Amino acid sequence: MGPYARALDANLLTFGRLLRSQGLLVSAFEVGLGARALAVVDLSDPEAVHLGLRTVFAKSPLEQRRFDRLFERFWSGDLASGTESPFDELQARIPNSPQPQGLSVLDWSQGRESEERVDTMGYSPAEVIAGQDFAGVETGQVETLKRLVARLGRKLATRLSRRHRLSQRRGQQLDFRRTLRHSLAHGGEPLELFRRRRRREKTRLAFLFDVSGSMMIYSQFLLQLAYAFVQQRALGRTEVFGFATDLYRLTDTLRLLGVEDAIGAARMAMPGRSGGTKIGTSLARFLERYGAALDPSTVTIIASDGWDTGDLEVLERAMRSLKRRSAQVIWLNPLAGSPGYRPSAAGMKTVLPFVDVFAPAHNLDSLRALEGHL
Amino acid sequence: MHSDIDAIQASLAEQSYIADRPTATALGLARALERPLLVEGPAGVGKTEIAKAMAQLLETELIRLQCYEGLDTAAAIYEWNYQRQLLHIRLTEESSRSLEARETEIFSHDFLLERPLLKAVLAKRSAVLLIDEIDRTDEAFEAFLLELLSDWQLTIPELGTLTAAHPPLTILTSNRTRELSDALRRRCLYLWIDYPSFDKELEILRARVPAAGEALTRQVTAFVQLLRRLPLEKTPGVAESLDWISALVVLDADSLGEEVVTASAGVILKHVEDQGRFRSKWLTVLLEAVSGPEGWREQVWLERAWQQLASKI
Repeated sequence: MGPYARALDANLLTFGRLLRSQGLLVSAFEVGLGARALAVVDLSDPEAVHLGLRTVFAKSPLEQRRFDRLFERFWSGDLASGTESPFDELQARIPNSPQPQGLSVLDWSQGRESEERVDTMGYSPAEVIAGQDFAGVETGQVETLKRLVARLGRKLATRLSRRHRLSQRRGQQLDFRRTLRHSLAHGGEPLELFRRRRRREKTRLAFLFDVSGSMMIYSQFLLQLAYAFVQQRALGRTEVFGFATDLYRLTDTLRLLGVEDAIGAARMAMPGRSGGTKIGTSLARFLERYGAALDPSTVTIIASDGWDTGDLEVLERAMRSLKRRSAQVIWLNPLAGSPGYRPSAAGMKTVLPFVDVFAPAHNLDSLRALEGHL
Repeated sequence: MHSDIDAIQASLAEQSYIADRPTATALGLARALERPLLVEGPAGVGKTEIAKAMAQLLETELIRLQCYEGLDTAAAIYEWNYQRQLLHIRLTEESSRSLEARETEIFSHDFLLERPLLKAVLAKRSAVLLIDEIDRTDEAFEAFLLELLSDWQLTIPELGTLTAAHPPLTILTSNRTRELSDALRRRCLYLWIDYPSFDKELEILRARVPAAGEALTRQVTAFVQLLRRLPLEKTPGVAESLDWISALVVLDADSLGEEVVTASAGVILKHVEDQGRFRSKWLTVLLEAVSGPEGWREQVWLERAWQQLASKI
């Protein structure tokens, strides 16, 4: 290995560490692979090096964009000069280096809690009063919530799978493998027939909840609800999204961590959510990006107050499409829990024709009541 | 060795597959580093085609596993040929051989039905294995695949462990209907294919449907490029523009007019609502945009045409 190659490897290692610090899935293994990739591409051509390393290091469109930015900054200066890469200095030059994650997640989420309360006070005092129930939902009560959601899930699953059960009887197949194995004991006479049932299609769930300013006070409760949905096992594939002006997929974030870390991380994943809501746009984005995950056995649950600051035509179109592509659309509106509530927000009026179940969801009791609706 | 990447790009073009540099690089690296390649992107941008073109280029077999929900080992790896086994048991009923010997016989290679993954492992020379729409399977299958992709071994209880002598060039595609696990992503090299640029799409249409003629090809490219920017329920991919231009050739059109576009709109817009809004709101302005005298030149033109169009809608 010549001195040039060695300098290249050292730089690659530093670059790999930089990528990892920016959230890309890069370990020593990928760096090794990167080094092998450099042996294949034309080193005199910056674009070839760029594309080669990106193929190895960046594993999603988002990571590719991040990679492009970092590649530019890193290799424009340090590689050419051949000097040792000043990693720390580089770090300092890159904006938004995330703080080391971990403990801080929880501190952050708890620290924010009080500020949020203050923000919302100014927004609408009536809502704050209606929302007092939620503030009371402590993390300890997540267990109750999980049990409740499991019951809801089972209920949805059994109610919607009746059709599947009928078709299963017809679709029942012989299990040749077992039948034949056992027939050997009777000299090849298949005396016992073994049957195989088609794998049952479980009811799926898509849960989308509003995290915009007007829903801020419910956000803790809805996040806990989302967590409970993701953790339950009664239903099949469950996908969870938060939305305000944009859509955030939270399924993995909420699935892989304990409740407090998960909720903290989910909050971190949704920056700038205190503005208005574009429900229509968010739902349209959901359909466009994840719509293929919907099928006739999917129950879509949306939790929002229906205050849409976007185009109502977009909202109507998205709802029509949602309705057509899922088994059932359930709309949970926290405001519906307040006495005398009428769904008068223009957005709410737009969506109601496409909603199968419209129910309040502002506390545990209202969720228990929902069980009765199903 | 980097000439490999250029060579791939050139040879793919001979197969009428227009690969840009990221695509050629990814394919070159997948071969050189012997890693599976995960290809993601919207529907209809030619993800599956890559594998077909690669198999042609390498003059090797294309083995395809189409994924769906509930895909199981019997459909993906192997199955015993039960009819033959039953027949064999019958035919050897009178023989003096022991039960064990007869059992061994019916669980041998002759009675095995190879499904795509087993086929890929047993291949005599390195094949191209296409695992299509991996996002449609469940996590359990993904986990199984992860193991296979790392050591190319399969275990069949009756036969033991089989190891691939010539691991295939593996291409996985995903439409991103669900996120794949990080473990699978890490195992693979990655390629994102987006809708093509004006120039790339023009080149693709030219290469694949030469009968259309230059003027129509440019006009169709311009039309589809603009159409993609509109808020559609289902955005047409390259597959749709290819179908469309073929349909226009069949309809004997040499340029786009209201009548012929209306007649063939179903080929590019596969959603009732899209078609409705297309006819009532967009058709006229789109046609106007692509039929101007200085029309459909290239990317620069496209940006300008889009701005004009956006102001009218």
